[in-house]
Amino acid sequence: MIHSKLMLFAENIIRDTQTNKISAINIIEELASPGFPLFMAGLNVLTLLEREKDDAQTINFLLKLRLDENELAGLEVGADFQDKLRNRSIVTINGLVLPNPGILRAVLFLNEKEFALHEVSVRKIGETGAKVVAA
Amino acid sequence: MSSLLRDKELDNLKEIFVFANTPSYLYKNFRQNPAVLGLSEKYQTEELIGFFERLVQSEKPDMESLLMSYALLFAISLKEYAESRRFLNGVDRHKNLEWIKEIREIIIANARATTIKNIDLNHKTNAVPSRHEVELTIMQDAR
Repeated sequence: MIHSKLMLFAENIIRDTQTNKISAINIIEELASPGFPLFMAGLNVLTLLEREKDDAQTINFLLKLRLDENELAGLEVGADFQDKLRNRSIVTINGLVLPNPGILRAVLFLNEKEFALHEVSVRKIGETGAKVVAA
Repeated sequence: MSSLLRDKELDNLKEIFVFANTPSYLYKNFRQNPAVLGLSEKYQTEELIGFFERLVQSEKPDMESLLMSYALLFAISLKEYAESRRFLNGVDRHKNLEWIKEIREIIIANARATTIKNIDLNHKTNAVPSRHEVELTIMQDAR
């Protein structure tokens, strides 16, 4: 069964052509802004997919970006494992607008079934989520 | 064919080739060599494969042809694996290239399947730019 071993958001994903290694620069663990909507020039989604020997060599999966229940973007990605058991997928989304704070999720679907998920919180600066209770 | 590289570049490759005592050494050092990187950047995969196939026809290649063959092979290995996979699967038939079987195995073992996709959402918006974009604007304004 195809599954995701790793999934993350980053400002930049670099692939070294000599070593063929991937580097994620400025991994996004949370987004914070004093105002909304928030414009993101470039958001990268890195996914490391792993298959078993009997699984298909090529798959088409659907990547959906959601902010809470609001779907912001969706695109089909064709991944070719090329005789290997793993595939690194780098998807760059340019011009993403987050209309409000919430939970940003990248969800992968294969044959209409969700098989991987990564999420980060998007918050308004000044809202920590913690409440101070006066003594 | 040797005109693909200058004499000085061939001399540098010769130095690596003469000192190489394992296929891994050849793999690592040829792929790091600027001349090999230059070939990979300058030519399409199909062109490099064409050059290589023409060059390895000779049964008794001279040193220059040997060096060029290895340079082309490693330049191809720097290309997308999806483009070079078919070529690499059959490359070990060229027995006059020393360590060809081992080199092929190293290249294939180090190859990774990678999918790269871009999407432009093209929003026209008055949204607040993210921190990254604000920093970029400040840097551009400072120039």
